[in-house]
Amino acid sequence: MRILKLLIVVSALTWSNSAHSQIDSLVTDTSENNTSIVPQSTTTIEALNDQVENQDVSGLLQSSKDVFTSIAGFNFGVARYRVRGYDGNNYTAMMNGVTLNSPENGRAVWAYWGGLNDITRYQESKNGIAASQLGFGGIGGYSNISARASAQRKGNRVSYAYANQSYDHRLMYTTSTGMMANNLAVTVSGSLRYANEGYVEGTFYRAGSYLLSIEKKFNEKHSLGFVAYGAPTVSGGRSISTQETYDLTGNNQYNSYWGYQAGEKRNSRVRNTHKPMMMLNHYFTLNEKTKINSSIFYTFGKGGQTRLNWYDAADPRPDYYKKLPSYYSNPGDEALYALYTELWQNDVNTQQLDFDQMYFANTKNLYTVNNADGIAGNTVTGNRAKYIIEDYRSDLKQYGFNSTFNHQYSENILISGGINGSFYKSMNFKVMDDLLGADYWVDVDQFAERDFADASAAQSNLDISNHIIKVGDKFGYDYDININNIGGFGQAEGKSSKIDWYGALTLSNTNFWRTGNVANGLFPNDSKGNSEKKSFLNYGVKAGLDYKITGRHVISVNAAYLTRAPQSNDAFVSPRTRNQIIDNLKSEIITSGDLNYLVRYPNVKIRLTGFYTTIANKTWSRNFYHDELNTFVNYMMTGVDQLFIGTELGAEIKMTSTIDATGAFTMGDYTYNSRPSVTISQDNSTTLLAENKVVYFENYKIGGMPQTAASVGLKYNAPKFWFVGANFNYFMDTYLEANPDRRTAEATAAFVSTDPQIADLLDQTKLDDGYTVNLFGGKSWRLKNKYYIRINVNINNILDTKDYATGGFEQLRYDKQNIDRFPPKVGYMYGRTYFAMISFSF
Amino acid sequence: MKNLKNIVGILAITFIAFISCTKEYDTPTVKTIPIGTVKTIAEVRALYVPGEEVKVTQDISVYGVVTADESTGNLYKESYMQDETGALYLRFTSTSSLYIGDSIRVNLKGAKIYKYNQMLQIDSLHADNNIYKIKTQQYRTPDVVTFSELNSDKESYQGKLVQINNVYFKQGGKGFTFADGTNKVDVSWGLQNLNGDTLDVRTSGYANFANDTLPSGFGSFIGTVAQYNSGLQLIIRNPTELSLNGKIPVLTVKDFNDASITSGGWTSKMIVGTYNWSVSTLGGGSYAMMSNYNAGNTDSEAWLISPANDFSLTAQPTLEFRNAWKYTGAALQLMISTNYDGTSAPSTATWIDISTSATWSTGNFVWTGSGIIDLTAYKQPSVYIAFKYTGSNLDGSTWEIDDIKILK
Repeated sequence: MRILKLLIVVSALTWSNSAHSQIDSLVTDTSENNTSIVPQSTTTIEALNDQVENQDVSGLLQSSKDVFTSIAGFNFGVARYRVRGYDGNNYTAMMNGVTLNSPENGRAVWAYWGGLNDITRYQESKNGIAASQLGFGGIGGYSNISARASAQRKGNRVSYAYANQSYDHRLMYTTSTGMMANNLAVTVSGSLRYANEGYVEGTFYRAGSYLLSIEKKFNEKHSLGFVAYGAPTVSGGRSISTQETYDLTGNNQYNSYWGYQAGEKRNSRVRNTHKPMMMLNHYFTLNEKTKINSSIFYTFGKGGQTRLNWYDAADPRPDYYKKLPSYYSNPGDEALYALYTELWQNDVNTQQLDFDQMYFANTKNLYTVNNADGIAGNTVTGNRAKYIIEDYRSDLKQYGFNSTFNHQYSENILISGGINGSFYKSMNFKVMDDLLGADYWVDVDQFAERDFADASAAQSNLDISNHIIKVGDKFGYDYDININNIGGFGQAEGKSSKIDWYGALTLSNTNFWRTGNVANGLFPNDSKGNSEKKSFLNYGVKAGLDYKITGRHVISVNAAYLTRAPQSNDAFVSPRTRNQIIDNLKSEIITSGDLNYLVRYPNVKIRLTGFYTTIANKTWSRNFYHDELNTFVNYMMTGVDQLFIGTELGAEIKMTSTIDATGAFTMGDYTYNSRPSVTISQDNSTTLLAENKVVYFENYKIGGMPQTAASVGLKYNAPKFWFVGANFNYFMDTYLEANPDRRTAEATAAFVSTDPQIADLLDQTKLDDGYTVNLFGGKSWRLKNKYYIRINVNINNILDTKDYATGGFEQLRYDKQNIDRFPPKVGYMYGRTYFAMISFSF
Repeated sequence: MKNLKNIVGILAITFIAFISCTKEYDTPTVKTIPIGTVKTIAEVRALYVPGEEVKVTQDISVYGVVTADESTGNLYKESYMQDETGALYLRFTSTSSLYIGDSIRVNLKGAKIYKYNQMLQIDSLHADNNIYKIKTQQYRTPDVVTFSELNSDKESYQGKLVQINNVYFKQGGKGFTFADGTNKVDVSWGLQNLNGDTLDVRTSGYANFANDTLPSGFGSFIGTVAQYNSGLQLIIRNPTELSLNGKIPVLTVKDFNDASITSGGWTSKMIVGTYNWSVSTLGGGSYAMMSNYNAGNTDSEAWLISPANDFSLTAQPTLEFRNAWKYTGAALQLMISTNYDGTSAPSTATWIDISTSATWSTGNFVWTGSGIIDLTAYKQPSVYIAFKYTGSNLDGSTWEIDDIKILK
């Protein structure tokens, strides 16, 4: 009997260990490198399609104890699944109670603490609307990573992982002292990740990470902790492209961002981020019933994303639409069609960037700049760059505080509350990264140069006209976004034998403004200095109730109503050039509710949920080339409402003492739910091109994720400390994100109802279904009763299916007569990938 | 202590990882553009074979200076170059990235030479592979030409940078724009000289000055010559080079066909004797005539005086007339005054004799053109021109004047 008990304990331990090990799986690490595929704003001719930084939270979900969320986190991440369809800004990530979400876009960036998996796996998380003693949180849920030194498991752990996705090798080491006799606890963790070339051709990965956590216990009431971490990461980007390029290259992972330079692969989109954070945490136990935790934090650092730019030269991008065979589809162009097809199939310098040619062009473009650097008579002659690599920087400085208390008011009632404040500034500018063999670049806006005869209009910085730019110089634009936020919350929770309940309130104030550091030639009077300061007062209420039919069967209901300040990156018409703020800027209004049925037997855990959420009054602003209007425009859409209805079902069943079965299913209907109003202004001149135009956006699906996904899995836990398992996952109802401008009366006005163009303009593309089969296994050994060796192997998509498009978007640039001229951009799921890890704990 | 070691160790490896992040790439070996056979622009133009598209397969280099570029948007993927032997119109597969004043060598290999609507073009040039820039800011002065010179040798003026003086936009001053920049439509406007001849100036709807108003004045035009079928077109490089802000001259013609000496404000003054200027039709046509003979000569002085002319804003006021005479006598004098009052005796004003600036008939009633007489020296608000006849009782010529053209 004793042996049996021991077996159960050990197998449970193994199980929990393996669960932890799985946090290291492919999914986690993929998330660091996923290219987001929502339409992006741009002020260059390029239609950008990648995020500056990643916003995926699936890495956090995997550690969830929730039966549905953990399965979804492991298995749905590859399909860009999003919790209940929500944007990442509805999910709150915290460390030691300090919110990690960016005030600028509301999202937490997993990459900033990537590689610290030994620490970040320890977290408290809840999904959906839930009680939290740490803050009001978002409607998607929250995770709080515990980096407190005294809470880390004492010991050392070193691990090495071998994989084939964004990186090939990872080395990680963590040591924790536990609380020592001198009342000090120290944790140190660090890792290195490396790939010369990742799964996608032309990508690379070099990252380090570090974390130091020290805690001093002064007495039974006071402890003080210090945490500092960072993850310097440099990686090569991957593109999202049109189907034509995938077909021509026969590769659904075709990446247009790289090319050969002197025989070596070079990636034009290098992300280089390092945003360290440090915090002081004060843990104060006032008495048995009351605790106060307070923190101050500071985070800073650089975020850079390089990109090609060019001046008075041919577009170097291989997938520019005029370089694809489809551009030559008209009768009479057959020879060119054949030529481009042939080149695309056989010539690597057609398929990819041609850095050697760019060098060639740059080293022979003699040019004389008169009155250079704004100095009359200063003449500079040399090779003016036609092609450059520039670094789009978004550096940040943020400091803040928070303080929360919780108080056991009575045996059954716990009250908690807190205040928090944050002072944030992002510094946005471009830095010359590489002149590709040229002598200099001149800081002028070539589009303004073409559009305006007045030469001063083209100056990026009127104080230094005809600015000669060399490597390392700032140029193009230079502005700060300042966001100050202060808020508080209060919550009461109660427990009884039949009913658990909670209710919470929050109130906050957000101020933001732009500070222009240069006067731009296009907007000499509205670009330098501070913009109007926008202030928003926001509030929220939420409440929930668990009704325990029996201890094993629970029905719970949660509801929330809150307002949220509009995001600063949607608030400015064109932040790179001017201070102008969108008219009618309003707070978003979020209404959300869910109803859950939970089953909790030792061998069976089930959660069934239905949810209904509206996020109303969103602002959506973008900048793109409008073919109809023949110019770059600022497209400002207000009154965008979204509706999320869906269900989640998760189940974990211990079928025998060795076999577990898991299942997760979610079906949603995530749509736009209003007819937003659009104002379009000319990017160069603020001339209004359209005002209060109606977008017929109701019932269009929110794209870029599977709205329905299912997973079933089996796992065998052998008594001899090894396990093996498999999951089958199915994804469906994925839509391309719709271009709002195509859904306007103006776009369809030229056609009659029988014209095929009407359907081309209005229909939304639904992508094909996809599936994966994943295998995982592991074994652990205990040596000398104190050392552990563990091996884990995961193989994702073992059937190597490569034709599942996980998302995409319609290009904002469109030709209403010929919608195929600017076809949608889509991204495909990886084929077979693996992740194998060996770890040694001592 | 052990922890400290660990901390240092971790920080060290992180640091190494961090600094190893900057990746350096080799600088590619840059190819060169071979020179091959060197030809002048005239020689390159001679490579054209009528009706054919000549593809250059050899390394042939031509040197020249860029005379028009794309910086105003009036040209697109095209450029013009010129040397002492002629000019070439260059067309590129992308933006040319050439600028006015660039001294360049063009290797023509891969390019096509043919005529499109009679304009010779070097087509399919690659901005990087075919062009080598030698020096910048080697500006070429435009050739000063007239419409008739251009039209007399269209082929050799193709692509050349020219300056045309004394012209104006026929539709200038009416609020029209160079082109339709809103709908990006090209527009042509007639440039007119004082003879009433016109030449089209074509402007792209993509030019950054497309929506600027056509200049309303008179002066000089600088642009590039292009041919479109049988006609020539002018292309503006930059509107700042146009100096079309002068007063458009008005030409007044006094031809006496109305049989009146005084119409149009002209006057005649009989100062001495009994003879005055009159209209005659003897020998055909109507003209002004003055003689002191009627069966004998008489002392005579008679003035034929123009109305007041305002030359103050005229860039270059001129006078032109025809004259003829016969019989011995004093020469007719051409006089000019800037302070005459228009009614009093001519002697009340200061008159300057400018007779020598005109070409005079050799007699025997042979009609002779005076030539264009430049009156720039008399740019005053009230200028009178007069023909002063003098005869004696011994002799006297018969003078005839016609077609008096005053440009003011």
